[in-house]
Amino acid sequence: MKIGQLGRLAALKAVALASALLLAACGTTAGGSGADGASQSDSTPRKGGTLVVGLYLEPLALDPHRQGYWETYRVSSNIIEGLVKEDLSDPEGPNKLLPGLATEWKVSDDAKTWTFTLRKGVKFHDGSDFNAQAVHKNVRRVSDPQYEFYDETSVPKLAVWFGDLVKGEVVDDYTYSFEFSKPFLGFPRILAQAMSTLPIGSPAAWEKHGNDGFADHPSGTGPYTFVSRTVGDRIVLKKNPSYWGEEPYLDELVFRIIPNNQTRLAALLGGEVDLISYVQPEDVQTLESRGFQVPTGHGAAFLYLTFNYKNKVFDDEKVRKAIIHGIDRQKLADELYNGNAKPVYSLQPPGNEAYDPAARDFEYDPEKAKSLLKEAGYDPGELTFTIVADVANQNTVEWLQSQLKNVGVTADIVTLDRPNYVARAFGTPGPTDGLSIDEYGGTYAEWLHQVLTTNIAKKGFDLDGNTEIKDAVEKARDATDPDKRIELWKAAETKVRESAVAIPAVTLTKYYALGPNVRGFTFAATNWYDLTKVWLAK
Amino acid sequence: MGTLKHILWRLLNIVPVLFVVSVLTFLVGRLTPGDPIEAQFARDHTPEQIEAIREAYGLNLPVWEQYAKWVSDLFTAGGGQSIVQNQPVFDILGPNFVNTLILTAAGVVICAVFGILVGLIAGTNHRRFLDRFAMLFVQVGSNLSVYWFGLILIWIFSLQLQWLPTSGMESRNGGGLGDVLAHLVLPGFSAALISMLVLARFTRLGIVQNLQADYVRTFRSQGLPRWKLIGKHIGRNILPPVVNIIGLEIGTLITGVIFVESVFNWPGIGTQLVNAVNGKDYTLIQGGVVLVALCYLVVNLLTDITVDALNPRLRR
Repeated sequence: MKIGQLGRLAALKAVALASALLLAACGTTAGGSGADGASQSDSTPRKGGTLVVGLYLEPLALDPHRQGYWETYRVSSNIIEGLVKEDLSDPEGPNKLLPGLATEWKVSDDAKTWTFTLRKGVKFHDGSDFNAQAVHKNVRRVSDPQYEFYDETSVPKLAVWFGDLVKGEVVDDYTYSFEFSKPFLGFPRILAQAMSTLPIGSPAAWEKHGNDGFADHPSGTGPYTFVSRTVGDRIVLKKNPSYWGEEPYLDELVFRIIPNNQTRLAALLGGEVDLISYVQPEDVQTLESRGFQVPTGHGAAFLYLTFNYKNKVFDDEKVRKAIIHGIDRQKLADELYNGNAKPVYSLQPPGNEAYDPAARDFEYDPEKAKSLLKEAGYDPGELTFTIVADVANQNTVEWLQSQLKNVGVTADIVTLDRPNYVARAFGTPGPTDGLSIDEYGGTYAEWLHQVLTTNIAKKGFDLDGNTEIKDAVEKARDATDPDKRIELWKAAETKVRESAVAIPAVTLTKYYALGPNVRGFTFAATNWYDLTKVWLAK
Repeated sequence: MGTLKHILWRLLNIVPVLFVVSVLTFLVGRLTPGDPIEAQFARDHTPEQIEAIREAYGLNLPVWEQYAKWVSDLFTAGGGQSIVQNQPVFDILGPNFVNTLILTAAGVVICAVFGILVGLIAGTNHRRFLDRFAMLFVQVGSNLSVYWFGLILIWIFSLQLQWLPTSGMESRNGGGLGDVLAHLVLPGFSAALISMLVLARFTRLGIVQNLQADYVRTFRSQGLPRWKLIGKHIGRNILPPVVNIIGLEIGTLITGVIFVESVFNWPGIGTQLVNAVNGKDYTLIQGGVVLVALCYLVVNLLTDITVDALNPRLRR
């Protein structure tokens, strides 16, 4: 029964697309209010009011350690904060680090132990005190099987950063230290991220409601407190009257879940919501012509292709290089994405603290690609594999297929819905699978380690067997001199890049759209935003 | 006594139908490719951990045991745990299901009122302009996509005329019956569209046929006013088929509402089920389908009872 309906759904979507174009076309001619007229004239921030945000998907659990999806963090970061924050008023990046629940932090000489001085006088929303014991329970929840509220769901998510944690220690009521088995200079920036890290939730809340129940009663120290959540409809937050930091302007935040792109757009145009994410590039003109603001950015994320190393074809570096030589990424950005993308040539994307704008891997050169394939023993047409992708990337992989055909590589395409894609690409790939495509990224230099261990290694890359890469990454991870850290990560990225381990593709231009009276919003160089600076003009 | 026995018998009949539905939804879920646990956890869990989770959900058991466990969960454990949301299925679907029923009810009312009205106008003006015009409207309307129709309604009535809200169930300042009703108009119409037109056709046909019947000619020759003829006699005669059609169309409405919910962002189970399908959340899909099937059966039963009650020959 469901299957047939989904088929219908797909067909209907095509119709909807056509009508959406109509909708957009009509929108441009109508709609009066000028874009340049009233907009930024009133510049004194005004307190009060409710901001309604239209989210494009249902957030996952509002739980500090079970985070998934940026859309989840755009909600939960208002409730739950970390020890360290990033300055989200900077559209360029890399973002400055700011004190969060910790006022300062220092690292030991061997770079293995971080000691945080905690903010005093802070209370969780449920009234319990924030102090070193509370931090300790957060650490135990994700690392100590002896703890009654040890959370098995969180542990694997945090393993990439907290796997090397030897112990967390309460030094005194407002001092807490983390000791790792390896140097970890990048730790503070990791603490300021959304996923796989340690925002501080109220232990009293999970002790009362249980680990699974926490998400229904989320309690942190943030500028907004949780009011209610109706799955499939909305999440409501209200201003925390006793917030420790600068008072936010808005009284209330409402996050409505509106998965349908056209409906979300209509809700903004109709004035029912004030801010939407995942704006489609083709809607930008409609929005701007009607006086809506459309901030753009790249958010330190990018599309990249990874080889399926379980397919022995890709053991040969020449094959991997040939494939990179065969793809014209500038053209991908210009033609397929109509300029709504920038080509990327390194695994540290723009916005990352170790991004090197000059880095280049293997330039587009079809002749070179062919001769490399020949050297590797493949005549034109002999190399065959399957590209596996999420249906959302259908156009991209079709484009790639035609590019590869030009250099004599035959690529079949399999596109799957999201869950099946993840299961196949990360779990059990088919024997002829060759490439898969993902989008992720981060502002921290250690991102390289993350993508290697959680994505590329999952796809069969033998990190231990590639000693040069392994050593370079280890060296960067082992850095004890803060001044050398970024350089070492750049060096590690160079090694990875030279071995053609994966194919960076493009970073997509992302759009939010704001109502004409929304002020103070910045598209920060990351994948979430700060609503405490946002206010509503009359 | 006879009717009561009849109703009981029909109630009993629901059980085997539900059994078949539950087996089918269960099997369809299992037969589609892909593993929900791997889909959820392949990114950051090792194969051993994934196996452990699979065991925790009982997905390593033989299929018939899984089925038996699920059926017992339907009665005792709120439909089982949702794989993605980790909560009992009926806890998740419950509040949304009420919203779906509200939208369906609005659809039924709109369908009945306008369907009969259009059919009546067309039927009593048989082969005249109004009839042709109404039937053109019916023809075109029947071929519209609900999805597209919904977007067009939003564009006209919400964005251009700004009479009605675009989506959701309540305005930003919330609340009030009037507010909910305003939010119901567009999705209600979109949901009702196809059924309304089907009903209009049947009503028209009924009236046209009856107008040619012998008893009508007799009444006419006796000088009975036209309104009385249509209202009292023809109306009575076409009521049972009309009720039947409405009953059948409620079923269509419940399933159609799923698309309408997506366009108008109505917080009902349709949105939930689409999410569940995208996330391969077996238990949630199964629970939702069984719930919808149950509704369908109950509505059918109620229709039959109503039709029987309307038929004097079946009354004692």
